[in-house]
Amino acid sequence: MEKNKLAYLTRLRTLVAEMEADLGLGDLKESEKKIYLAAADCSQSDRIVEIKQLLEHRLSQDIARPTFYRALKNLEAEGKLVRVDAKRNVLFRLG
Amino acid sequence: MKTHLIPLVVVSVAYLASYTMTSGFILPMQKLAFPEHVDLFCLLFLPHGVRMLSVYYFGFSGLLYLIPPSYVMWFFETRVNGLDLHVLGSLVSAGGCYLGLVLINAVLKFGSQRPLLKEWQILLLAGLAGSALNALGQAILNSGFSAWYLVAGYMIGDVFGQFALMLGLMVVFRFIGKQQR
Repeated sequence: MEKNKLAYLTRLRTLVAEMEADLGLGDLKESEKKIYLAAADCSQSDRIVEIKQLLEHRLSQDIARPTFYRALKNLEAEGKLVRVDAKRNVLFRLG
Repeated sequence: MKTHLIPLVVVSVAYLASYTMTSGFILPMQKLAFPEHVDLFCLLFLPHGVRMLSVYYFGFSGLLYLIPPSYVMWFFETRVNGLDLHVLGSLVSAGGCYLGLVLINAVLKFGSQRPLLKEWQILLLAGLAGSALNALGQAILNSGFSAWYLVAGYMIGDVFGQFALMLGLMVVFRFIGKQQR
């Protein structure tokens, strides 16, 4: 039930965030919104997402690499994404 | 049974709060703004948004969760406010929303259009279909409910109300986000 509740809340929050982004009402930059939504979409099951998944996600794949890494850094600084220690892959979880 | 209790409570509270907000604030404002216009329908009917979110997230169970709060409001409107509402009206409203969502999902799946639309857009489309089915059902139930402007008014109120509720959720999430920073 706990997992279900979290899933419902994540779906609702993603839906609202997508709507907010489409209506241009968010306070994040466009590239940051896209990466954050991509992370929310990818991390629904275990809440951990690889950087490779973010780079290849349909929402964020069109972002230029320098902008992508800058936006990622801003999201980390805002606490929206948290870097998780891993040996080989760079992993993030939603903040 | 326990797994249904929390969603039932959440949906009931949301439905009753949105209905109270609609009849206690939005409708009086509407009457003030447009006193000469018909007041048989509300131009911003928030409970439609709760109905759509309930069936969207909980499926058929969402329809069942809507029945108790709908009948609480039906009882209040008929016994306290003296309105003449059909006893099956609440059931038709909830059922119309569920069927609208099923219909839109089926159409989008058949036409392979689902990936082209965002979830909130699908939800609004389903809300429009649900509202049309609800208006059709109410027209069948109430023989006097045949004027086209009433049907159009109900649909406008439902869809605008759903959109307003979703905007309201946006504000709530932003507020929560700011509180957490």
